[in-house]
Amino acid sequence: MKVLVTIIIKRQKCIEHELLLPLLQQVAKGNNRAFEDLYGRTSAQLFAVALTMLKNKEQAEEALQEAYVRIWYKADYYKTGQGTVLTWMVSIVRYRALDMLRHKKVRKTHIDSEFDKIVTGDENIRDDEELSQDWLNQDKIHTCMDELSAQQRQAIHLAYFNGFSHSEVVSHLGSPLGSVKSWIKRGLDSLQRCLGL
Amino acid sequence: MNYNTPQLISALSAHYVLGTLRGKARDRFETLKFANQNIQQEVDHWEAQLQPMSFKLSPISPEDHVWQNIQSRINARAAAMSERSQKSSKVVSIAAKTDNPDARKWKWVSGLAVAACLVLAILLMPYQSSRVDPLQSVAVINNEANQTLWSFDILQTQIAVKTTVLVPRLPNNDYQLWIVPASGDAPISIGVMLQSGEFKLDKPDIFDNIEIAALAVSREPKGGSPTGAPTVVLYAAEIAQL
Repeated sequence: MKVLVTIIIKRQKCIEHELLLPLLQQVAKGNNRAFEDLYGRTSAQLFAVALTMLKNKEQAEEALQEAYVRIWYKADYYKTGQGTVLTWMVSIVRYRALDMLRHKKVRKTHIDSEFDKIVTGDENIRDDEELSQDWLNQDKIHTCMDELSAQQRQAIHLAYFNGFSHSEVVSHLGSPLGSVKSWIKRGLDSLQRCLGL
Repeated sequence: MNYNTPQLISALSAHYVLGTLRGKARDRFETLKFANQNIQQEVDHWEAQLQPMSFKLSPISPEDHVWQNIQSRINARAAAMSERSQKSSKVVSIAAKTDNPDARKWKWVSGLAVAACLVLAILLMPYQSSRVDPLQSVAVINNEANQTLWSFDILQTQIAVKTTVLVPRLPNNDYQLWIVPASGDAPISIGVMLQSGEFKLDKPDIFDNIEIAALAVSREPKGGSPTGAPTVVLYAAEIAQL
């Protein structure tokens, strides 16, 4: 059964790649129609990433816009060794959002009520059953995250999804800095072993 | 810090991708990443493995105006670059276009020694496609003998730095690059630079939103300015628009 699931996941990964890679290659040649198609297929996922991190609609839109401008200009920088097209694009929008958090002091104090429910707590994080139906479910990370201790998983979740620094995770959890750093470090060590990095 | 330790590279890469590597440490790591293939590969691996975590988020469709804004920005920049390119072809006689349609490299010729260590150079970028991260402006820093130390390509999203062999190595310090605002406000850090080779720094958003008097290079303790302000300004150079 596990082998079958692995095969299915690998197939799903291929499907995503088969869809997006030719589009990105066309974007690299300056094909605007392909760029629009790529945007249509990926922007909702990337917007969810930006909105969850920035918790502000306008700032999330700004991050998304900047990310796609970069994708337009940098499409030919993508290499297959960098993961799938979608993970490469997620990296671009996440780093953009992290930059905004750092330099523009965008923060959680200003949460649009419209998006409050979406971006606070775990409401927007799909459970595994729902995710298993999704063609985007493609990697081992979800299994490996489940193997972490609850504290490690929570600390890494807060850092990843909310863009929290160590000190912000400390504030959120009310735990000592040393404990938070240790949870994240040990969690990443465990992920590294599990992922075979 | 010895960045040749695989365990350290992996740990820093993981924190970089996760986002918990912050501040000057993040700046320095980004700089090293551009110049060290091992670090870049490790970051690539962690990105490939960690970023699918984001697929747990339910997609949220952005409003239509977001796409329109993206198109507007790209079109506006392409138009601006086209206009600049036309102007530079008339004004900058030392510029020359490449015949290679895929070429992204530009040719530069350092031109004018301005003062003791202020130098401006004029150069040319051949643009074949509006999609390529376009060159907006350039700067060159020379030493007192008018020998080039660094050249800077100011691209749309990054600053590409070339370091010549004439840049003195500082075993106990780092060089840091700064924006000097024309308003007289305090310099704004762009990032810590490698002491050799070619690399890129992310261009701060503010770069395109203020008037800039010059780029400056300072000597700092390892890891960058401890105060957020330049410690010892060594050189400065005006920026030449293309």
